[in-house]
Amino acid sequence: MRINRPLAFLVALLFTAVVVVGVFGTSWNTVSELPQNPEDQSNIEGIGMLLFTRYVVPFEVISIVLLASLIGAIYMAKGEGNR
Amino acid sequence: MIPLNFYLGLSALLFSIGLYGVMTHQNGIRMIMCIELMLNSANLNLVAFSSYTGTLNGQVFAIFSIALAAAEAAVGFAILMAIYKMHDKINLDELKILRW
Repeated sequence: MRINRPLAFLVALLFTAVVVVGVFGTSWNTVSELPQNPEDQSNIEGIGMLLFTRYVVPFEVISIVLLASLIGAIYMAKGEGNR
Repeated sequence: MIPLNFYLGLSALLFSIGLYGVMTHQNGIRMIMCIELMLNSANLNLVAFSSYTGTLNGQVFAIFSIALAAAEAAVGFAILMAIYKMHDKINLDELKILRW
């Protein structure tokens, strides 16, 4: 199959144009000033609290998913000896 | 403070670069790298919206998305390694064993 590079570039350019026009034509409902205290600029503590209180079940589920996929990847890449 | 539109525009640009790479490359590793680029542009969107609405939920979602991207990359590279062991090439256009 021959890759049509100019056509692919055109498709990517059109996609960019559509998304950028959509993004810049929308008035997003945002806060005007970020809520942060000047002593502690980081939000790591908030993320950690959220991760272990409200989103603790997805956190555990995603750990299982990551472990299973890594075991599967090692089995696929290394298993069955050499052919 | 930079407006939110610029973050979203940068994310769209990154996604388009990844899309162009997926459409034009035949090498499997390059395609996986481009897919990672697209996933990271989506993460950038999540973090930008989360930061500009003043809540932290989106950044937690970005962490989950990064973990899923790691799982996807591991499985993808393992499949490519298995294919390379069988065929000695990873040109995805000449690959017929995963089609039906």
